[in-house]
Amino acid sequence: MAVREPLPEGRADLRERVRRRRRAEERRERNRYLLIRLLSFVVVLGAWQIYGANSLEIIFSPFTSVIAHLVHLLFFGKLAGAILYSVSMFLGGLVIGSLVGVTLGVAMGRFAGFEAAVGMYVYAIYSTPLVALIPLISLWFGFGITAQLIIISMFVMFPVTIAVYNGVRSVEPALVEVARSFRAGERAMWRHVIIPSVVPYIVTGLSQGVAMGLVGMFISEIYTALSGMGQILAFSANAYKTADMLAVLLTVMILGVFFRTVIEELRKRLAPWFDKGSGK
Amino acid sequence: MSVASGTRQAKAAATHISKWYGDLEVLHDVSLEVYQHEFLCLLGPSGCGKTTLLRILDGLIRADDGTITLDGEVVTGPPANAAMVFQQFGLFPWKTVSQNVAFPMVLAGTPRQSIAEKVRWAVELVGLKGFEDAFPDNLSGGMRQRVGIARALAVGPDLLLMDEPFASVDAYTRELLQGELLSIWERFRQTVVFVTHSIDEAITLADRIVVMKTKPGEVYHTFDVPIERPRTVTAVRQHPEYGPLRETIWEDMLAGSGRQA
Repeated sequence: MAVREPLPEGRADLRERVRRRRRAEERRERNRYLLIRLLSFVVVLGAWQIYGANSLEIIFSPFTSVIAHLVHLLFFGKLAGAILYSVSMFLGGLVIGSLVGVTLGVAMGRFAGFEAAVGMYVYAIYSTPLVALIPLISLWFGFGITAQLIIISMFVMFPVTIAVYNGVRSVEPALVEVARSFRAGERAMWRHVIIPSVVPYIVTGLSQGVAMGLVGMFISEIYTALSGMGQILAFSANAYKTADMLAVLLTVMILGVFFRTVIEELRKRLAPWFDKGSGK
Repeated sequence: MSVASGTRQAKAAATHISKWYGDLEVLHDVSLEVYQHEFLCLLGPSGCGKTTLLRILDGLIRADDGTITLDGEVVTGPPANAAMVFQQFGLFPWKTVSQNVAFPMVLAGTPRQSIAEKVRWAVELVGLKGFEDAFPDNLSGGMRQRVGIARALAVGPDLLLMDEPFASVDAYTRELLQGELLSIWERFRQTVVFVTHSIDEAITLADRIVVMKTKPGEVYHTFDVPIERPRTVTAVRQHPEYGPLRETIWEDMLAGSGRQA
């Protein structure tokens, strides 16, 4: 596999030709998929445009009009400020939710007694639609920033907890034995075996946490004090400004994709060995 | 003959070892001495407790009865001067080849400079030069076990414990690795306990073969391998003693597992 013996003259030439042909094939394949994506994009946007142009303004808007509204909202409306507010709340909730989630997941996975004591509540709350808890949270914490942060944190926390718990549970016993055989103590065991095993699960949990956190963000902004992007969404919906609504949705979509890309990059940095079988 | 007869000094010893898994007695009153600078093979069919015995020797699990000594001292946990090579390689997927090899030395607090030197030496010894930064998942089975062997050798152990190290690689690679292990061992002569269920592998590598009997696992008979060193895999197979010894051990294993020849 490693050692390449020098080939005789004519053969070296052949290898170069084979390599070049393979590269050309790969390039052609890449181009083909790029073309399909591009076509699909054109078709979808075109359909949107045509359908939007032929429907009532309060039902649907053509793509160009949505973009125009987006630009207008950004530069002359409240969208830029709303994005700043919503994203800060989201990031705050993400940090709190992940910290609590990772701690809880690790503790549940590593200490059976703790899992026995707490696990059932975690599963019970995880199985409850979190939206149903919002009136209660409002009752206890009001309608301000605190309540919003708690809601977003909860949405983030549960998927992270469950993923990390599963990660800690699935640490390979054979590798624990290897480390023991080489005289690893408890600290070395965490540093060299348990934490690295769990990192990919944490990232998976975070990735789900991001998706859920965005849900929590909107819900908190619509169901507690109207604020941020949720406020713009609700106001434009009430006023039948469909193009504005679509502009906000487009923004969230872009934000979602952005955060997921960041997480995926984070995974590549933190767990470069975990490339296979991780899906996307 | 490689082993000086008469005044053989025990490196490690198991005395009256018994081990139960639930209601099943996997090892029954096993006593065994491993001599200094000896290559010992524990040979037996699956389920004879040979891997369990090896893990007890390494202090990874406790026997229910009996004691293990290494250099005359009772073993209660994994000893510093013993190193194990694992059947399923036991490599950390998040560590590169270098980092895997360095791992035991990092745990031991060896100075960084010294670790780097030993890693380089061990990686080169097993023929993995150029793969220092590869992750295990990108290596073939044979290459992974080379990493496992390099990791064990790098710490410079007095006692090398090998748990069917070549059972998870293909037949061709297996023979290749046997040859390489022979030439490495004939240079350094650590004390080795090598677990296998292959008679051919045992004869090729060992100075002495301990055949184990099943249900419960017990030491059955012990055979010296009268084939001179240095050896090569091919030379061993062509040696006049090879055929008869193989035959004798085969019959012994059959008898030990309660079957007729």
